Amino acid sequence: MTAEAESGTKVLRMAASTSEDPKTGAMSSSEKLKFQGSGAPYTSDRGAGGSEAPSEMPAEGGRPRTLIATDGIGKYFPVRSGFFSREQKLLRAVDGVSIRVRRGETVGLVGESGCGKSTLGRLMLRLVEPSFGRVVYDGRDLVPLSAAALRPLRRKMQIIFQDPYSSLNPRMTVRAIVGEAIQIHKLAKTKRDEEDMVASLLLKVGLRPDVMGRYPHEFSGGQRQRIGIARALAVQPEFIVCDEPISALDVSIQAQIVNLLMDLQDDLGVAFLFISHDLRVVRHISQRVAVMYLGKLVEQGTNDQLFDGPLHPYTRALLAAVPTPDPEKKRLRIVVQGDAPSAIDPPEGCAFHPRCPRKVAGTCDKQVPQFAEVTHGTGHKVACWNPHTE
Amino acid sequence: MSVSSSGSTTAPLLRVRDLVTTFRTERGLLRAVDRVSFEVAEGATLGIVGESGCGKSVTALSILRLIPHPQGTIERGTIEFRGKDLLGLSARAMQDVRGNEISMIFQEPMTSLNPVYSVGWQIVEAIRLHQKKSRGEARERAIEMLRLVGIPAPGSTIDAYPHQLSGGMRQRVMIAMALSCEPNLLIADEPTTALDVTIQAQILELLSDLKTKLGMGVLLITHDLGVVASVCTDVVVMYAGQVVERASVENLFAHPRHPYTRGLLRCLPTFDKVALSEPASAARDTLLAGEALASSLGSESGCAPKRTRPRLPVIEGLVPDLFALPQGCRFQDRCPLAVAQCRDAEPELLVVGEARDGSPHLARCIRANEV
Ligand SMILES: Nc1ncnc2c1ncn2[C@@H]1O[C@H](COP(=O)(O)OP(=O)(O)OP(=O)(O)O)[C@@H](O)[C@H]1O
Ligand SMILES: Nc1ncnc2c1ncn2[C@@H]1O[C@H](COP(=O)(O)OP(=O)(O)OP(=O)(O)O)[C@@H](O)[C@H]1O
Ligand code: SF4
Ligand code: SF4
Ligand SMILES: [Mg+2]
Ligand SMILES: [Mg+2]
Repeated sequence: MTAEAESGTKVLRMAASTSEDPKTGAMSSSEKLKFQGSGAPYTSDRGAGGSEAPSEMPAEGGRPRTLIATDGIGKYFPVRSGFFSREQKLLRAVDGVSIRVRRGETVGLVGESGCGKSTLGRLMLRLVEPSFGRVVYDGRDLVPLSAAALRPLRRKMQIIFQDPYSSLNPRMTVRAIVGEAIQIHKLAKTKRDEEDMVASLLLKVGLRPDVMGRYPHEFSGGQRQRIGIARALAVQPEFIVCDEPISALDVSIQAQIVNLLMDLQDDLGVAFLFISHDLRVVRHISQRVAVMYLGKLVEQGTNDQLFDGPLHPYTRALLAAVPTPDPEKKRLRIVVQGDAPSAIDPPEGCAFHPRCPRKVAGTCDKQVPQFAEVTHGTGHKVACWNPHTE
Repeated sequence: MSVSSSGSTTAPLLRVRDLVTTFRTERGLLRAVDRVSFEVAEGATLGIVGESGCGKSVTALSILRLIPHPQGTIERGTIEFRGKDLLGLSARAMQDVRGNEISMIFQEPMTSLNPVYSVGWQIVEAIRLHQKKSRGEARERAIEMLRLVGIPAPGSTIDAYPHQLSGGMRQRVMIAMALSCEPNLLIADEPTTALDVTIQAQILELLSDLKTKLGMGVLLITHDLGVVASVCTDVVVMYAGQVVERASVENLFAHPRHPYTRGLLRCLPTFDKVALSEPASAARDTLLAGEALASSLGSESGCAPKRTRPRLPVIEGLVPDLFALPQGCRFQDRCPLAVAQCRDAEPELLVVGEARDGSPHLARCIRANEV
């Protein structure tokens, strides 16, 4: 990381730990200024996300219903801008996102490949240091916490990684991989208990317990993915970031895993951020869905709002591109034309405008649309000057 | 768009016959691929679907002779590509085939991209290995390929390292690399799992262009039945190392003849609101397991089990242990149609119908006509 970006993070982390407003979680304008001065520009739509801020009234049992929320979170990666140039530029992987997951809720996260979904998921677990913004988990701001202070929280927040192979230690057997987490968190009394726990976890993800002695390279892609799922479930977390958890699996095992996640949720109140390109499954499993485009949320609503009445042109394009499992209707729909925008030089105004069929010249290419409700009180938000409201 | 489905009558581009691939493991010899046969015609797309772990990737790696040594061996079978017997080629000649005439998109991009080189360097090397191009020309070509697969700002992203790219961008780098040398046969192992549906459509369109332009044949391994329906001409369904059904894509979706295939098609969530189905017995099992887990956790969450949401249908049970295969049909323990006779002898792959163009519809089930 460059010194510049590093200092930006520090300034902000300090700000967040010292002078946040405990009620709204909002930063004071002087902090914003501090951040602005540190190299990474402040995003204009941040304020609109304010109602997602973790300021909700505590619900039953004195616990806030919100389990985890981000407040204008962002990650800018310093990158070289070209082969011969030594100039550092910032790639805005996540740019001021406020998202909230309630206890026992599944929030689906969808969007174009490379738009920042995995980075957002990792930011929520602090596996990536934010460039700015806050993450509040169960009422605690995670960003200022030291590694030691984070450790007890780590068990409660797990991730199922998108790339299963590189996340499994090739020198450990399945028994050791799944058992390790159980040991670290002292969840089993005896070796025998541990073995039983590992076996039952493997069965849950559709693997035979007799695979315990094998190493990751001896498995197929989908089998490895399931080892990663078993490992994440081993420590009985409260919140799991599922980053493409099922894309390597055949539909029957997909269904089995989806059912398992839903069972865990209904029985234990586990919450999920469910990142997936499979919109059918997202529709099935999520209560709410957020759509991301080039580092920002562009639409968010309940499952029905989003799938039955999508407002943003990009959401519409996504839904239209889902291939039908019917060879008699053979067709692929190229619905998004034009080159993919770069997160290093995002288009001015609405980032989707160079590809948008509904753009309003003079507005969409100049001004950033606010991320806000179209109809007050619905909770269905969109960032668009000309949404599909008819 | 139009998906070409040229039912060419010439000799197939690729013909795999009776392929058997095994691995030596702790527990003994594992037959990952067991007498698999199929063809891919020029300009056609053959889909391979099947349960996770059923041998799809091992089949693909066998064709390219990339099975890891010494634990893995191709024990039997022939692999004929444009009339050449690939299993008989020298290592050197095989190297020329790979990446030149046949290229492959691997299932896990991170394991096949080198983390210490920029992606551009890797594509340029791949191009220069097989084509007479200067470094500058190869770089131009690489940028063009990255643009075609929808990578933003390809002129600068080309200098990124694999860890700086998202999962789907890495996958597209692999696709760009595989297509850069215009192969005759593309083997694509789950090429679009990390891609959103709009970019997926763009990539599949690109493949279909190359099929028409170059007569490229494609062997497409995928779990996505929507993709299968949209781009494949024919489909092979595998189960526990074997082919259990082979048909034209239309026949497979309209008249599946193997209970496993039918089960797969049923697992697909519909895009409309999912009908509220009563919990299947598997769901009840996990319900019990979940309750046990809940009680072991104590009442920390304070959430009473409530099962109001529908569950997706699944194919009950587990794939058989490849070290302890049952006598008879490998699907018997999970098959709703199983009868005593299914446990006698292994059913053969037999003709059970034919496609519109007259090609046979094969299934490995004694009750295929009742499915
Ligand atoms: N370590 C890094 N250094 C530089 N850039 C990075 C790094 N990690 C991610 N990026 C960039 O951040 C952007 C977002 O990446 P991210 O992995 O979050 O995308 P994604 O939405 O998960 O995409 P996909 O669906 O393809 O997995 C991409 O442009 C990527 O190139
Ligand atoms: N190197 C190896 N050593 C031992 N067994 C292996 C090895 N590679 C694969 N296998 C086994 O061979 C079988 C087939 O694996 P393969 O990778 O072909 O499955 P697949 O059909 O591609 O599954 P997926 O859809 O999950 O990718 C699996 O049971 C796997 O465990
Ligand atoms: S703001 Fe304008 S360009 Fe952006 S999505 Fe809406 S209509 Fe299209
Ligand atoms: S042979 Fe019998 S057990 Fe096997 S698939 Fe057919 S009906 Fe089912
Ligand atoms: Mg990702
Ligand atoms: Mg595979």
